[in-house]
Amino acid sequence: MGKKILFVDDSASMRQVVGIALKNAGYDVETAVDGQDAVGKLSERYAAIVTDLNMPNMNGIELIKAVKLNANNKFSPIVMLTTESSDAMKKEGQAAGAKVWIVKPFKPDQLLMVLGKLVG
Amino acid sequence: MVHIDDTSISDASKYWDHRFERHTIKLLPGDFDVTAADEMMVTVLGSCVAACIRDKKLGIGGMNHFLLPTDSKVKLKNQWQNYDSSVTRYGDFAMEVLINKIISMGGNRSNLEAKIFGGARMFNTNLSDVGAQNIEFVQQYLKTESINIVSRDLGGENARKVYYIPSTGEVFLKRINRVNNNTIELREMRYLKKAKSTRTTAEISYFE
Repeated sequence: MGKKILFVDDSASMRQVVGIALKNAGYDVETAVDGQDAVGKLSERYAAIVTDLNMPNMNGIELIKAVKLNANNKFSPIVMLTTESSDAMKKEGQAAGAKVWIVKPFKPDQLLMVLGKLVG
Repeated sequence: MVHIDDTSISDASKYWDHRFERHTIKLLPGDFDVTAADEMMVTVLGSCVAACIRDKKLGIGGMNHFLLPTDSKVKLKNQWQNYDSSVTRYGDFAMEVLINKIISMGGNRSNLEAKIFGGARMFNTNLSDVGAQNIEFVQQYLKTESINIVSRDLGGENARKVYYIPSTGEVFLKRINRVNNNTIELREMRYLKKAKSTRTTAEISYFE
């Protein structure tokens, strides 16, 4: 079984796109529809967490903060994958504990390259 | 008016429309905008498509205007499986920026409704078969997102002028009979050319 990645995005299309790309690359993928949904799935330990920023109920920054308080995942690297490109938001993400910030539009290959560096 | 990405060819802004008595935002290929005010949006579509999406409870919504820079030799069907293709990069992105903006202004994903227009078969240009691919993409995308399509006017051979009022969801659509000039085709070709040559890959920042 491949390394487990949690992918969080409120867009069903994006979950489909990224889900297929990650599975094809040999990862085991869990998806969540927003930050709150993701928090409910933190009883598992993930090799990495990839999350969108703007989501209902709980956004990506709040999710990072919750992950950092979770015993299973506080050391899991977090990748932001978002249309948001402002330096202010990036700084907020970095302060909360994100490792990488990817601004869309993106190629799935680019995400795989980043994950390759983070988790092998 | 906001550019979907750096493919925009527009420098448009708001004007007062005397007939509809509303502030009106004019969108060109590569643009999108969202408003919570009682404003109107207008665009002219040839092969391009526009998705008009709003939160029907709050009346917050907007419109995008885009064209997939697909390689017409490659069947779109195959491109659904190819998530590296420009289809997903351009199309998903054009839809996502619009939906994200509505949500960031307070809209709720489960209250979203869509009206979709465009995708005409324009004669005399090599955009001729692009319309159908755009139609297939936008319908498939909205289906995947479970966003209800409450109205559509797609395909055919005429360009369209579409007025959209997000606060009420009203649309006024005018078919444009073939005119003597080819302004619409030329504008779409210019956009397509620019879209093909601009950045379509991510900016990546590593922290630490």
